[in-house]
Amino acid sequence: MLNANQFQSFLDGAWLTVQVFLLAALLGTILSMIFGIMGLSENRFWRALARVYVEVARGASAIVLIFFAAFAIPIILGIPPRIFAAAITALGVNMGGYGAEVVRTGIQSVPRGQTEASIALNLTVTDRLRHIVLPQAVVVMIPPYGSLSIEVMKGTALVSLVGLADLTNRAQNLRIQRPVIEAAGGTAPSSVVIFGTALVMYFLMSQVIALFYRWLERRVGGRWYKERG
Amino acid sequence: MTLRTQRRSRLLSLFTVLAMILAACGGGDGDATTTAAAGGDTTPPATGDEGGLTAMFPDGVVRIGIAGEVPYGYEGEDGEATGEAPELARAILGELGIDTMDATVVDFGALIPGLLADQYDMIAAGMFINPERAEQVIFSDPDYCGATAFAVAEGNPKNLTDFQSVVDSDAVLGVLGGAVEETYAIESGIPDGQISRLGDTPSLVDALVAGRIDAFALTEVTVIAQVGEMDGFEAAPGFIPVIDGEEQLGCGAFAFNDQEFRDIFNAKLKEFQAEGRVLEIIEPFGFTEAAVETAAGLTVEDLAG
Repeated sequence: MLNANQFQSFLDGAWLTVQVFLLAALLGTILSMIFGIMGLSENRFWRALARVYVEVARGASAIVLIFFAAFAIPIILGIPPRIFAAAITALGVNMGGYGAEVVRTGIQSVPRGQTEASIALNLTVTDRLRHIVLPQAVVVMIPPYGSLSIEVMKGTALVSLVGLADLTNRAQNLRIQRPVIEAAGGTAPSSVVIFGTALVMYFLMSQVIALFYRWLERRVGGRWYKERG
Repeated sequence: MTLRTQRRSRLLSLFTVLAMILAACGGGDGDATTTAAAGGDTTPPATGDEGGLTAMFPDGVVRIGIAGEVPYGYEGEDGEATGEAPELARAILGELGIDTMDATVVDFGALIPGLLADQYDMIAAGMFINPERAEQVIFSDPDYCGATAFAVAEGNPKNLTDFQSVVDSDAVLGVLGGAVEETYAIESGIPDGQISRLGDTPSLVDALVAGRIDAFALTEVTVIAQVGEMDGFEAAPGFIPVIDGEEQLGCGAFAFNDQEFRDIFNAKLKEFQAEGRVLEIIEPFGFTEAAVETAAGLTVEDLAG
């Protein structure tokens, strides 16, 4: 089993995982909204731009994006790398690629008649989006967006490869220390215990995210149904 | 305000928010990476030390890259960087006016890319000097030389003694991706199907225990540290690999990206070697007098080809 110090190190790692996830998800959500709505623009240029973003962000491997942001961009720009910012940007950009499609298809799932009716009522484009289309679209977006968020949270494990002390990094570090612990006469936890603990911690975090989206679904969905009467 | 400009200003404000998030993320760097202080003492270094590094590193902090490999460089149980290379670097840097080391632990194969991207100022991981690496980074002179060894099952049932013996058997040999043993294995003619590349030392140990590989090759010191005390496994006797009739002496050093920093560090390393102070620092990690003496007689030019 893990001793108190080792468990504390895992908790510290989990906290960093939470931070990386929250910031990446925030950036990813902003990018999803921007490019998802842009993908439905009547202007061909904006539509093409959104398409390019989605294909590039979704098509790039997350780990390669992280390495690129951490190692290549500092060389291109001639600046010292900021690993934490690089990792979050890479994960957020990657998430935005998937999220933009969730947003776009969510909006498209709102019946055409709703849009036509709001045009007939002479609402502006922004009012139409804000008061008519988005409230209905969000209800459809939440479940796939919840799955995407869990996927991104698990994907944060990739940041351990560029030296961030996240949960996976802490687990690996404990494996590395085995000969040192044993040379000092202690018993080192086996890989079964180390990765077993990490698995449970990731699972608990994913359950918190799942619960949050279930709550959101009930809340937002409920309000919409009530408003619709 | 027309609809168009209104839309544009809204987009603009979104990008502003984005920029602010990224700026906020940047601030977290120091807490996020593994930080190890050189000692409890954080007072600024004494001024006026001639030939010191205080002008180059005004904060008195040098960032080092380590690979998490016992006993060369790893994060100890107290969270501080330790091992042969970090401890020697700490002693040398200390005399040059640097009293804090910030350590980042990455995979061995990511050490050089991280240095080139300025993620840290030097590699203190006991990295062997070889011509390929010397083209990318600037090495100090070596501080130790060591033999290679295989970790095998107790009694060495497949009689694996050197790389040639793997070619002659059906054994699968585990190596660390990007480490010199991988190159030795390929150049000794071991078929690709008999080489298993893994990312870190614990994975090699787990693979050996699970029977996925028959042996793994690392430096003798590492192999002894990993399996020396383990039931059912042993460290086969160390050997010097021979490639194309030439002995491949493995000597580890510190790697830099900045010539001036390297020269100042190297001069101090030479001083340590002349005064015979290297051994006392790295002996606790399993290094012998022979390993230190051999290195003291060599320069980076002897090894970089």
